[in-house]
Amino acid sequence: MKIKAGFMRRRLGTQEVVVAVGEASKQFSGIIRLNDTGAFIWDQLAAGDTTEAAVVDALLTEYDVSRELAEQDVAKLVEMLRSEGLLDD
Amino acid sequence: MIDSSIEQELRENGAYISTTVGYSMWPMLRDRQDTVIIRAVEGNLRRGDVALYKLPKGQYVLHRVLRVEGENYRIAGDNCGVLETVPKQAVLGVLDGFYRGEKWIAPDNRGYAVYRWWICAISPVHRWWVRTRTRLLRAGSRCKRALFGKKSTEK
Repeated sequence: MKIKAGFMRRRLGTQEVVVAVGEASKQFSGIIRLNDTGAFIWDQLAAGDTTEAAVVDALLTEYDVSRELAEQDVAKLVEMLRSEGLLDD
Repeated sequence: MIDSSIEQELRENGAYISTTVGYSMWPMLRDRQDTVIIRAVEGNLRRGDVALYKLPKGQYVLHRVLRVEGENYRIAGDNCGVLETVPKQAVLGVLDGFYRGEKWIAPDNRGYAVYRWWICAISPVHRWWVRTRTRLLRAGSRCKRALFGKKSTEK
């Protein structure tokens, strides 16, 4: 899975947000706010085709969290991005 | 996903981000390619600031302030031929930087400062040129139709 073309991470003050540009902006006009972990997960998904397990592993190398919590965080964001139509499976 | 109104975003967060749609601020902002950051307005805007305001019909517009006249701003898009009069109270926010494609352009960006000065300086001539260009294009279309008739969609 990976992030669909046209969705960009941008900085709004101290926050990280996702906006759509180009064709994607015709379907998606809102924004998604990301916390630090969310921004990290986003970058993994935006970097190219990956799996949920690979993103969890990357998260564990970067943050001092339990595998259980990392899996929950990744699953939650992936589910939300999928429901908003931002993910290519 | 946040889908609240622009006013709500500005009131609650002090800032709003969006991809721009349309050609009225071209060449600075390109249709659906560039992303603007708007901050809630405090006090008066200055010549050259880009204001976000709301039309009586509810449409949001992002155009440049060219003159301050009492309780109104005289405003035009960088690619528009018409100068609008906008009451100060209709202005919701002011441009606080933008992403041109992937590149972040801060309000104090040197290149943007030159562009801002230039577009204000040539504004009267530029607006005349945009109006003239529009008239010429319309006249050209009328001539084409008169000479060759309407384009048929039937085979």
